[in-house]
Amino acid sequence: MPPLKIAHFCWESLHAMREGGLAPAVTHLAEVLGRTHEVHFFTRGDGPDRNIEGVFYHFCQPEGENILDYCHDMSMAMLRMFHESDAPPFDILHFHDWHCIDALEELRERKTVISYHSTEYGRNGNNFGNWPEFRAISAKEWRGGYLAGQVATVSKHTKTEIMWLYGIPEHKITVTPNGIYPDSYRVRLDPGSVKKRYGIHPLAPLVLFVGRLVYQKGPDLLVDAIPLVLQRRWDVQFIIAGKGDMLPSLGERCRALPVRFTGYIPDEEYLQLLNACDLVVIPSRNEPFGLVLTEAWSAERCVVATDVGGLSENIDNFVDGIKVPVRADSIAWGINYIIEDPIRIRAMGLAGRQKVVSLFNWEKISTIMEQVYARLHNAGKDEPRQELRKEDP
Amino acid sequence: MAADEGCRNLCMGLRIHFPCFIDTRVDPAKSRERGDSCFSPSQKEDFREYRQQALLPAMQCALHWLDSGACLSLSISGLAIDQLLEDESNGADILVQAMKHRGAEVLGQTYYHSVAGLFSEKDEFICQVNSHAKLVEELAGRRPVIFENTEYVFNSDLAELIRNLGFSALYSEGHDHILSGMNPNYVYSCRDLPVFIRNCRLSDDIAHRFHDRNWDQYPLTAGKFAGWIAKSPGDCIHISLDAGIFSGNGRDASSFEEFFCGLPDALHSEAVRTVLPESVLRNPPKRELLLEDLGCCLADTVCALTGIQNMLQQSAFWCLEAGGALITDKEPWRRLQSTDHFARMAGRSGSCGRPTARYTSREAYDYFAAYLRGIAFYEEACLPQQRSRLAARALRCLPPDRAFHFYSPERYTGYSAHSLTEFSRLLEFVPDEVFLFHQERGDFSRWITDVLGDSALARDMEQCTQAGEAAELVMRRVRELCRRLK
Repeated sequence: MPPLKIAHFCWESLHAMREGGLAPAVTHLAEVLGRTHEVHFFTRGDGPDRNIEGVFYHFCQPEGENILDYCHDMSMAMLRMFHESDAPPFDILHFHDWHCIDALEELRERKTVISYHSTEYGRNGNNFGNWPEFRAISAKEWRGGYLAGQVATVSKHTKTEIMWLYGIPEHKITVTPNGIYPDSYRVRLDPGSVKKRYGIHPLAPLVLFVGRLVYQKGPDLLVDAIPLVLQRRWDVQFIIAGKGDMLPSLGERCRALPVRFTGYIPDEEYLQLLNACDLVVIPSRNEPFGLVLTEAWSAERCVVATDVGGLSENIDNFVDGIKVPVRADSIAWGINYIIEDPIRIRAMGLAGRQKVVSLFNWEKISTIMEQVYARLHNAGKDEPRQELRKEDP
Repeated sequence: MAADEGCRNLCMGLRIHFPCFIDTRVDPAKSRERGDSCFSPSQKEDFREYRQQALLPAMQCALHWLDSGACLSLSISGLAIDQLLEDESNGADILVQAMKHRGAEVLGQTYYHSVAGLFSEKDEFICQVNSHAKLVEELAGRRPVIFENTEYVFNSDLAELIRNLGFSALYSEGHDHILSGMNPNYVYSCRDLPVFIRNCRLSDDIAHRFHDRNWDQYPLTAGKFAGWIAKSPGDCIHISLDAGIFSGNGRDASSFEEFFCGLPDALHSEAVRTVLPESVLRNPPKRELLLEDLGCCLADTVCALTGIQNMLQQSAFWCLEAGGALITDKEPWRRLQSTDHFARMAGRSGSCGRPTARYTSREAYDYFAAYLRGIAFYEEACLPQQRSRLAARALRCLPPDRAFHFYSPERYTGYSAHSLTEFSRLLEFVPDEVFLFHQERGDFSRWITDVLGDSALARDMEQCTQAGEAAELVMRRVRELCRRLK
């Protein structure tokens, strides 16, 4: 495949403004593609445009009174920056999630890809909303899938979800999981000394939750599970790392429980906690991919996760993790089941590590993405529409 | 099958040990009828049952092996031999007959199946290893040359010590799902000492899965098992079986005996030789053994190989170690060192050929409390003989009803100090809010005065404003009190 000129549009990146799991996924994809292609990254942030790790970053600072206006302003700013760099013209335009759909609207005649890292329905904990923002964002997600030449999703579950929600035809969609650099998440340290820093006994089993404290991620389910865990194993300690709307209410409910809320933690501290804990719990109600899963596996940690979305697809039950229904008592059962058996915890963590190394390495994932680009790039040349007609019954 | 495709050597081991468990129902300090012991009053009856159900069938099978020309290594704790010698049966004669057999080799170990290898001072460990070797030499006619440390307790410092004690090799064990691709069927080395690794999967196929009707390989026959041995790559497979599994755990024990006794013939037809550990020494070590190989991170304080895996075990271990200076009667203290007590403080135990046991959190805690009451009982009894009664009282082990339980203003933190030493170690990391909560209420000084009887330390403690400062103060005091005891 000849080198292409590729534009990524994403509202967050690791090098400027970061919100959640989208930033590492897109930043690392751009970097891997940047080794063989010319990759530009349009995102939010301060400072002049610059080359970081082989990717040309273009930063804008949008404004807006609400999230919709803000993202519209961002899309228009990205569009202006895009036109400034569009000579020679970009071959592929890759949009991530709904935030930049207004830019996609303007560039719909070009060869475009949209990646769904999640959906508004999923972020709302698998519920429809009847408020204006929900409807507007869902409309943008539908529009993006309709306009883009190719669609990528992070799991089969999200693929089915967008086919059902937005009627996107299956032939347009390719599943491209998020990759990971496993070695960046494995740190050799003394778990006991990390636990001590949090006032936890070095030999107390530590269960870690990492993620935004929002309904989708199910931290409330974990909090409901804690008393049930303690009924059978009194010495388990919990750390809930992350910030979000639910933090005050969860904090109030956990006053008498062995739970520490850290709020936002920097990457370095996250790595320390990840490698010091005994078990990672992912109690999400909806999880398109579940980056925490591959991060935990990279650190050789065992996971107890709800049987949803990407978690359901990627975990081999009782081999590299425990899958449980989306219920507090089931989550407690999963924790109690595995916390009693340190040898199996370790074995499951190691099995997870082997899985990320073989299935989720970035080289493999970027190859899948390059195949999507190639299909799109060659579409005009080989009269793909006729081919499609042939496939159509 | 070509000889180089699989393993041609099998080293079968039989493990015999019967601990003195603690009676969890009675507090020895309060019970008048019990008098002088924290151990189970039915110890002799329990041992007799073990002898009848497990030990004698195991020894008969062992003799069958040996008489048929197969080799067998024996790992027998001194405590088990003592109980057998005290017993009025012919069990001891059969055991000695097996130990003396030319096809048998007795392994070295600690006399009381002890955790003493983990003590910071190694003199107790050395003493127990030597007394066990002496006992074996008296009975079997020769001193052990291969060492098997108690259960999974193993680290590189111990390897060096064991080499210095004159042993030629050391047994460890590794579960194949945490060995990260390392083959346990080769000889490794640690600090210039050859290390043999027990094959846990094959050991547990016999010990745990033999009676499991849901196992996809059920029923296990001698021929099938010998075939697996012949197909496994490596120089020599080391299998270890606890005599306890010969009881059948309520299942059909005769089918198991039939399987075990049929193994030598089956192995012979697969051209697999049974060998003694000493002869495996001829194989050169494949490479240096790293603790990471056995699923252990070097810096981990929580390490599967240390044998101390939870808070209860840690507290009990510290009390036990300190008890060395406080309990003048060494016999009960040594009986308390058995790893079996520590296994009872964990939820799940038994692997690599040992019978499995599962305890609930409550059962583990009850055993822990009874264990501490046992140590406290012997320490109290020895108080009059101490050089400094004040020091002995302040350093003694405290059962949960006298321990210091750390609380924040809202909840129990999850840890308690069961001795002054543990108190200082916990103070190193208690959060400020917890420290201040207790300090403002005067809890620390009250506990030190009322329970430990050290009013001088209590006065100094009142002046502390930070947990770190208090931890240093208490540690200094602990060192001073220890000096007074010597």
